[in-house]
Amino acid sequence: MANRSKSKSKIACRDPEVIMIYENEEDVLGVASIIAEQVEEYRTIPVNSKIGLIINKCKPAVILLALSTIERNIELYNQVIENKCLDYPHHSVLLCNNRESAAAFRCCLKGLFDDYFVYQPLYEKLRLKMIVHNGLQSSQASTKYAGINDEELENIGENLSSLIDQSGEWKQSLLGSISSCKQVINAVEPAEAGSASAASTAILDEINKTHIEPLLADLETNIRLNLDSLIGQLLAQKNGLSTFESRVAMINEMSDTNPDKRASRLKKALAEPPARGKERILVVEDNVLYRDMLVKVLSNENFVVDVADDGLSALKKIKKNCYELILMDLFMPQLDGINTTKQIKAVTGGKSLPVIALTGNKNKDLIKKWAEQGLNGYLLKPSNKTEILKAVNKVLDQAR
Amino acid sequence: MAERKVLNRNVMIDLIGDDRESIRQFEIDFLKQAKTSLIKIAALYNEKNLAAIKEEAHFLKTSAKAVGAEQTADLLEALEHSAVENNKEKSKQKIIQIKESLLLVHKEVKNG
Repeated sequence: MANRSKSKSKIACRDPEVIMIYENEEDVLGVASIIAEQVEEYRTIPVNSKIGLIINKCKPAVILLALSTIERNIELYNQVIENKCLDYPHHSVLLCNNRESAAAFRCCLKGLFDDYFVYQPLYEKLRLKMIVHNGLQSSQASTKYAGINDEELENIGENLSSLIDQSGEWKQSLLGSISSCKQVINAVEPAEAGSASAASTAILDEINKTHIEPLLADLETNIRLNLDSLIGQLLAQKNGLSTFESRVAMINEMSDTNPDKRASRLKKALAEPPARGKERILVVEDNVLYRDMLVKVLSNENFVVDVADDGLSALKKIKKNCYELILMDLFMPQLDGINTTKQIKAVTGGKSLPVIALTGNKNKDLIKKWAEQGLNGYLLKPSNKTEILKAVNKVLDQAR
Repeated sequence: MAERKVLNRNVMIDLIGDDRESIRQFEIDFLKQAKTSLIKIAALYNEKNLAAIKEEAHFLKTSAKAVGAEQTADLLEALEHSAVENNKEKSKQKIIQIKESLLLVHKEVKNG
C-alpha cells in the first residue's frame, strides 16, 4: 500500500472496486475524498440513465448510494437490480442524512442494503472507512484491495496500539483455530457418517446372515415339508381309496354264498397284493417309434401307460399324476434322464418313484454309475418283451 | 456271428408279439422316420456338423434295432463312430450306404 496513489485522479478509475453514485457533487465531496484516500480503485459517478450499464461493466465490489433521499436511493437500487445490472455479489452502502437514519437502519435490517452511513450534516470519517473496508473484505469480487496499513492509521499511543495488535492477533488466531476445527470436523463428519453407515450396513448384513436368513430358510423348509406332507397324505388317501374300491369290487365279485368259504377267499385275497397290471407307468422317450413299441408291450399286459417326450414334460406329468413306475430314456433333449430322475423327488414332495433307465449304452460301469443317481434298473434298447416285463415286474415287486 | 438281415421280423415278434398288423405299421413308421432322419443327416453333413450327425444316427439306430432293420442299425452305428472320429469321408460313405440299406428295407416292407 506504500505505492498507493491518493490522488484525485483515481476518482475516475476505469475499473473501480468502489463506486459512489451521487446527485449533488457538493454533498459527496467530503466522503469521496475519504474513500479516495483508502481505496485505489475508486470512482464517483453522477446518477444518470446509463448507471446500470456502468455498474454492470465495472462490477464494483462496494457501491455507495448517495442520492438526495433514501427513497431515491431505494428506487435507483431497485431499478439497477431489476435491469439485472447487479447480478453479482457486492456490498451496498446507503449514505443518508441524520434525519433518515431510522429509515436507513430499517433498510439494512430488512436486508435491502448491507450497511448505512450518516454523512449529513456531520460524518465520522473512520466509520466510513470501516464500512468500505468491511465491504471490500467481505466481497469475494474484491481482489485488488490490500487493506489499510498501520502507517495510514492515526497515532493512538504505542501501548494501546500494541495492546490492540496483540489482542487482534490472538482473536484472529482463535478464530483461525475455530475455523480449522470446523473444517476438520466438517471433513471428518461425512467420512464418519459414511463409515458409521457402512458399519450399520455390515451389522445388518451380519444379522441377516446369522439370524434372519436361517430363520427364513427354516420357515421355508417347514412350510415346504408341511405342504409336502399334506400333499403326500392326500395322495395316499387317493391311492388308498382306489385300492379299497378295487378290493371292494373284487369282494363283490365273489358269488360264493358259503360264509366260511367266502371268508377264506376274502382272507386270501386281502393277504395277496392286488393283481399285476393296473399300475400306472410313465414312458419317457423322445423316439416316438420306440416309445409306441414300449407302450404296446406294456398295454398288452394291462398296465396303464402314459407317455412323455422329454424330461421336462415328464416332470409335469409326474407332478400332476400318480405313477408306480417310470421308464426313462437317458439321452433326451431339454432335460436328460439322469437329471429328470434327480428332480422327481422335488415334484412329488419327497416321494421317490422307481425308475428304469432306457439306454443303448452297454458299458456296465457307466450304467452302474447312473444307477447310483436314483435309478432302480435299466433296459438296453431295444430289449425284447420278456426282458422288458421282467425288469418292470422286478422293480414293481421291490416297490411294494 | 449270424448274418445280419435287412429286416429281421423276429425282433418285432419278440417285442410286441405276433401281431402282423402292428408290426407292419411300425415298419412303415420306421421308414417315415428314417426318411426324415436321413434328410436331416444329409443337411448336417453339408454343415459339417459331425457331432449332430452322431446324435441323429444314434436316435435312428434305436428305431432300426427295434424294427429289426439290422443292416441299417449296423451302418448307423458305424456312422456314429466315423462322426465321433470326425472322419468326413467315411461318414459320407456310411450315409450313402444307409440310404441304400433303407431302400432295401423299403423293398422288404413293400413285399410284406
